[in-house]
Parts: sequence; C-alpha cells; structure tokens
Amino acid sequence: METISHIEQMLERIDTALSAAGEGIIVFEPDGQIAYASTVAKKLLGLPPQQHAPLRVTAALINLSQSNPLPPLHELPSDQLPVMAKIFGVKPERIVRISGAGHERAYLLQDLTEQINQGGGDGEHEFLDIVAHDLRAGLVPIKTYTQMLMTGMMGNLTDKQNETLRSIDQCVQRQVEKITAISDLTKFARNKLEIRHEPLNLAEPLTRAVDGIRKDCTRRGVTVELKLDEKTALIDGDEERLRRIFTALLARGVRQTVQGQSLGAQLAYQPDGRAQVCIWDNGDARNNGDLELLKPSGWEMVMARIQKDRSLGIVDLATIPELVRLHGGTLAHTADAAGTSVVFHFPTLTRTPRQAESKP
Amino acid sequence: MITTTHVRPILIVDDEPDICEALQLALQLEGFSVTSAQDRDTALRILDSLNPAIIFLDYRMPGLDCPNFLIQLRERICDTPIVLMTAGKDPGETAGHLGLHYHLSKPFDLEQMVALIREIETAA
Repeated sequence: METISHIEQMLERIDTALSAAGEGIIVFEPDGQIAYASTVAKKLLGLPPQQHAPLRVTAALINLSQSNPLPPLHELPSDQLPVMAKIFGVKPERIVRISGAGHERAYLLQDLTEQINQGGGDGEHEFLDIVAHDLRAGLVPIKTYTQMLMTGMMGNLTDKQNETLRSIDQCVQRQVEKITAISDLTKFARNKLEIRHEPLNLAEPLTRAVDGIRKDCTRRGVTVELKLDEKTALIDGDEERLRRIFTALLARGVRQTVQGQSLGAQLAYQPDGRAQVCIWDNGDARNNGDLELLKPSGWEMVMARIQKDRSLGIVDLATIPELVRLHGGTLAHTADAAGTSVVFHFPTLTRTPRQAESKP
Repeated sequence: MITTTHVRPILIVDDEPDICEALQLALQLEGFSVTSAQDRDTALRILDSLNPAIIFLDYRMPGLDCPNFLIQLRERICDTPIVLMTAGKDPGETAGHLGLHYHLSKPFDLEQMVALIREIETAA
C-alpha cells in the first residue's frame, strides 16, 4: 500500500503541475476503465470525442492494483503499444515503464517521468521561461509598428528613415535571437534541448546569417564573403537555430577583425555526401578564449564563464556544441594569430548532391 | 494602405494593450475590420454579439486557462478558425495539443500575419 500511496502522491504532483498549464491526466486500469481523471481531463472528457480528441491530454497509464500488475513494456502485446500511443496522441517511443517497489508497474509518458525525476528543481528555469516569454511578447508592438512604417502604411519615408527602420527591425531580430539563446541554455541545463527536424537547404540559414552582419562589416570596414556550392542537398535540421549558430560565429568574426581584414562563410558538399560549412575570419584570435565554449561542456562551465564576463555575450556560443550534436553534425575549430576557422559537417538527407534546379 | 474592407471582423484576444493596439491598427490599415479584447470575459461578451471571421488568441493570459477558454469559445463559435499566438516555447506543438491548426510565434512579422489571414480566408 505504501507504494500505491507513493504513486498517488506522484499523480497529485503531476496533476498540480499540469493543471497550471491547462493539461490533464487520465489513468487507466488494465481493463480500460478510467481510474482517475484530473480536473482538466474531466472537462476534456465531457466533450464529444471528435472535439476533445485533438486537445492535449497528457496521460498516464497506471495499474494501481498489486494483484494484477501490468506486464513489462517489452512483454506488451504488439498491438497494445500503438493503441496506447493513439489514445495519448504521442509516438510509442515516448511511453516508458516505471516500476514500483512492489508489483506495481506504470506506463508514463517520457516527459512526465522526467518531471517526476527532476522534482521541484525546475523553479528557476520556469522563471527564465516566463521571462523569455514576456520579453518576446513585448517585442510584438515594436516589430509591428516598425514594419507598418517600413511598408509605407503610414505614408512615404525618406531613404534615411527607411534605413533607420531597417536597423530597428534588425535589432528586434537580434534581441529575439538572444532571448531564444537564453531559453535554449536553460533547456540545455535540463537536458531538454530539442530541435525541429525539417528538410533544409543549408544555403538558406547561411545566406541569411551573412546578410544579417553585412551592415556591421561595412561600418567596421571589413570585407565579407559568402561562397555557396553550385550543387545543393538537403539536411534534416532546424533553420532558425542553424542561422543562430552561423550568426553567432559571424558576429564574433566581426568583433575579432579590424578595418581591412575579412571574414566569410562557405558551404560545400563533400564527396562522402556530407555538407561542410566553414566560417572564418582573419582577425588575431590569440587573446580570446571564447571558442573554448565550442568544446562540449556542461552547464556549470557556461555559467562560470557568464559570471566571469559579467555578461551574456557568449550565450550564443554556449549552446552550439549541443545544437550541432542534435543535428548529427560535428565541428572543429582553429584560432590563432592568423585568424579563426570553424568547420561544421552535417549529414545530408540525399547522399549524392544533385545539381541546383535553378541557379542565377 | 486600405485595400479591402472585410465584413466579418477579426477578433484579437491578448492581455497586452500595446499588442492589441498595434495589431488592430496594422490590420485595419490592411483593410480588415478588427476588434480586440484584453481578457476572457470581454472576449466572450463580444462573441455573444459578434461572429468573427478569425480569432487571434494569446496563449498565456492572466487568469485564462487556455484549454478551458477554448471550450467556452467553441460553445459559442464552432467553426471559426482560431490562431494561437504565443511567445512560449514550441508554439506549433502547443497549438497542435490544443487542436488548433494555426499559430504565430511572437514576435511575428506583420506580413506573416496578413498571409495567414489570406490563407485562412482561402481555405474557408
């Protein structure tokens, strides 16, 4: 009974946490009867099936009976797991098994299991999530008004005014990227950093990243080059985060260089089918240890560096190794008096690069 | 630039007055009829007398439990497309879990919002 009580307490904790997010739990008995439904889940269940089906029901399947334990996950009849997955609206691999001290076994969604394991330690990260949310939301009116002016909705503007507005819009974009980087860092600390997986032409985020720093290069008197392979291939990746990686390194290159020097980016497809991205600059990098962050490091090292610098300046760099790993890629770098070179390799979806369909 | 005037208005539900005002003005200048609500009760009151073409709904509002509010919305308007606006993480996933087809991740481009309205209008 002690372990059943433990499960009940656990459910209460999950329920409290999920209710705040408007999510619910349903607990099924082995025969399919509902043993427990949280407040939110009850409301959802009150709806006709076709309406409540798409709503979020973060569900747990738990057997509270000691006399009739659920089988281990690998012993589940092959047709049950997809059924459970369908009920919960999740992929089967997200369902994991936990065991009580007695005969109880429970199947929980993986994210719930992580929540249980982490207990209440998420408080400060949740606070950072809220901060990130409010900072992003606050940029909506700035961006909207800026774009209203830029598109001429409020009348014609001079070239100088348009240029100024473009600068404001770019600053907003950088602020968004910085907020997302901070948000990613908190996810990284919780081992919860995930990326989108979409077929993606690397030339797109790379071009956007280079375009984003052109003005800074002009201001600094630094030349910027972009070389793209004539061939093209797709990778499985997250465009926004890859752009942020490239922007972070290019922006660093701008800071490293002085008038008359240069920096650039190159995309090339290797004979083995991998995509190679090189970001380089020829500024003297001997006295800058920031690229140490490109070696896989823990959250503690990142925090130590932030505290040492008294700045979030390196926050963009700090998540790069993990983001590259999540893309199935690798990275290597050199940094010395002759400059810096960071080389990424990413697996492509099509092993053999094909000719671009249209090339100017 | 006012190009067209749409008969059925667009409803924006967001607790931030600055966001409501900016989006309302921008969409009005794009030729849309727009009304806004900064809390749940006001939104529901508006829906008692108005049948909007699209609702733009902020996900996280003080005192607003989004799934429950959606239930109340659906009791009043069954088929009206709802666009979830969120500055939170994983906006697509959040919208999907709520059974919503459309979402905008804050801060979004005005052009993106207008394109989405056109897409919804075309799909209707």
